[in-house]
Amino acid sequence: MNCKICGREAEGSYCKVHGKAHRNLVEKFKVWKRALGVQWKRYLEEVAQNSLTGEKAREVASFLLLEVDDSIQ
Amino acid sequence: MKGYTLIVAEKPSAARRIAEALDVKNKPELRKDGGVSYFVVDRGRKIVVVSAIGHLYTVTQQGGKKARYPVFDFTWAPRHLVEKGAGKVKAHIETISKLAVEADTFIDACDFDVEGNLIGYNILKYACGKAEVAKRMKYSTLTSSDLVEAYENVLPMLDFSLIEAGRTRHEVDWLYGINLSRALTGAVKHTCGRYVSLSTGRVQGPTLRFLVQREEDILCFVPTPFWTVKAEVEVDGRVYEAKYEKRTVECKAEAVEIVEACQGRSGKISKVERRIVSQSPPVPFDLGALQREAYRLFGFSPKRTTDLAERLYLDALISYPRTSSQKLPPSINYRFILHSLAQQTKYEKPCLELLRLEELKPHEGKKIDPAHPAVYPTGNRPKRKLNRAQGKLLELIVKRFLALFGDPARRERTRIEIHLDDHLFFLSGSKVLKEGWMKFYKPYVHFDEFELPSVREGEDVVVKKVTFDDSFTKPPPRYNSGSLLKRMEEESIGTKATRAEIIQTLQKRKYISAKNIQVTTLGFSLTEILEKYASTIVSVQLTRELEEKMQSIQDGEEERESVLAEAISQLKPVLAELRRREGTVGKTLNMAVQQSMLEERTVGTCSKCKSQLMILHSRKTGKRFVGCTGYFKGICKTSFPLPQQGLIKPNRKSCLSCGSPIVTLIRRRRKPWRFCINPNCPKKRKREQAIEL
Repeated sequence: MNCKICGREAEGSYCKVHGKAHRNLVEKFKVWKRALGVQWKRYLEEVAQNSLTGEKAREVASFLLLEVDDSIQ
Repeated sequence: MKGYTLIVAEKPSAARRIAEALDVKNKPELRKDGGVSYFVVDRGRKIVVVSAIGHLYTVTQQGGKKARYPVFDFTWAPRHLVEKGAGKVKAHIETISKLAVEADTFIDACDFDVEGNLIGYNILKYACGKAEVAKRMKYSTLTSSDLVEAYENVLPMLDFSLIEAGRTRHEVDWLYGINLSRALTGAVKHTCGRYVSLSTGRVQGPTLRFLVQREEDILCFVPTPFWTVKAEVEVDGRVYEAKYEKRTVECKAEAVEIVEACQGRSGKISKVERRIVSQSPPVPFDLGALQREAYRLFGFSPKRTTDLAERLYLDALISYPRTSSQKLPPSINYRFILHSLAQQTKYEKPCLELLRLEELKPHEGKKIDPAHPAVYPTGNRPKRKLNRAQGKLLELIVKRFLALFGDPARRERTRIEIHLDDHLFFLSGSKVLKEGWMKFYKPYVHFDEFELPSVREGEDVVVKKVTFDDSFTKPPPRYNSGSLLKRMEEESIGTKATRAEIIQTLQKRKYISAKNIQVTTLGFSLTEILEKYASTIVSVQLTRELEEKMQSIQDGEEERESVLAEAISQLKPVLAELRRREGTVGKTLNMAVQQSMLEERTVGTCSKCKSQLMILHSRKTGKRFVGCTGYFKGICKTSFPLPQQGLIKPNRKSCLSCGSPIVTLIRRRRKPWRFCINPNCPKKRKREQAIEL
């Protein structure tokens, strides 16, 4: 299976680095929710815009945002 | 000339110093043979001092030069037969061999460490055939007194355990380096027909792995919000910023609640705490600490610091720098060094102050090196004009030496606690009560002083306002040469002599870039491949174990043969796997190489069409320029001129004035020049106008 984002070899949906970024995103959502009470979509938007977000984490956040939008449509 | 003592030194300048020190008139006779200088010394009996130029012999493949792998048969051979550009080695070996014929006593006077012992041993074994009967001069500085003492008290034989450790290290490193590098280079060549020089090694692999891990942490970093609450309080007409007791508040609602609860309240000083903190002098420099401090203060890379220190050592200005000791024994004669340093105007005052002390006792660290003490100045005045960098490093070493004898510095730390109802804020400050050692180590040390007003417990303070700031957690910092060196030391990989070179090799191979080390696509791909198919190569654990075994050889507890056999048994399955996966490995690395080459030429994004701006060469004139890749699609004609001389490196930053990319021009013997590629940049125009005016 290939990574949904970069097309590299992947074990699950993502390659090694994007997988790590995805795990970080899921884990840090709890902190954001407690801190600001934000929902998943808003959280992803905030993270994607933040200049301190790592490049791979931003790519995953942007990709997940597209998925969220698709599911809404 | 017959029946003399032949002394072999490591470098020509060391040979000259030894010859001058041992000659009764300090004027040895300089002779030349085949372009190689040697000295004839008169010291009651004739002595001939000749030098090597570092290693004259190296490990090489046995049986032909064909680049095959796996290869486990090796031998030691003269360097000129193995390496290109080592032509001078031949003349040195021939001269030393000739001089050895009529000598009756042999002394190895190379530096007293693993490398130095091996250099001397190989020369005495292969060029002279006298390794078994040779004696050893041991010294830590190239001052006349030390050299004469080392000659008078020459050790009866070579240090064979140190030599065995050195030989094993070279052989193991060769086995790893040659096989893995050939496997990687061969994979790309066989799969894609492209020759790219790729390398990895026993220490290179794990070091690159640290960097990749950190880079991944940065790339995958997700910031989290936090808030800091502060109160502006007025005391004696001055406004101070007090911090909230919880340094960070992790929930915005809580921060708002605190601010609302404190707004308009008056404050009461509930506690004033003063603490005297004593700070001991620093410890003497070992090589790692010197490299880190030189990087922190002057931005010198570890390799540069090693080279500069080596030069100062050869000028007899400092002791042997490749040491891991943090101890300075009294035998180096502290008072003599301070007296000598006091002859130089800039050190006169601090040295005289220290010389007035009844007892001189340096503050020492824990690390020990049986071969050498920590780095210290000899007290000699430079006989030639030092360049800026050498001068800076020498001054640092001198001032560090002086600081070791200083008293502990004393600081007063004050904490004032202010209660706003139930909420606690605090002010903190500090001032230096006694400079102690710090005055000897200026300007390399300074403390930020912040003096707080004199207040009493129970006193009221006016609270002007209470606010909060929102912030985000930051990604971990990138390694720089200094912090990477420290990490390598902590993980016990590499040696004090090789770590700096490993970092430089990673840069040379383009696996890493920039001062704040960033891993390139090639570095990432290489580590990914090694992790997948050769995980032992990037394992810190295995490297450390091998390192410990080599130390055991030095301590006489392990046999060279068993360590070599173990290294080979670890390598064999790895190489077999790399061979089996050659196609995949080759393709992946080739793609990474292409990507890296593109990255090197990409300077930024075009502001007009958002395509990539790249360094290109004109087909007509051959001149280089920055052009937009949109040109090839027929959508954009943006281009910028570039200087034609020197190396251009993209900076990955944009001009603050016009937003165009910034590049760095690197030319020989000139400072790197950072500039915006846009010739019409408003900033440049302004500067030009100012010059015209």
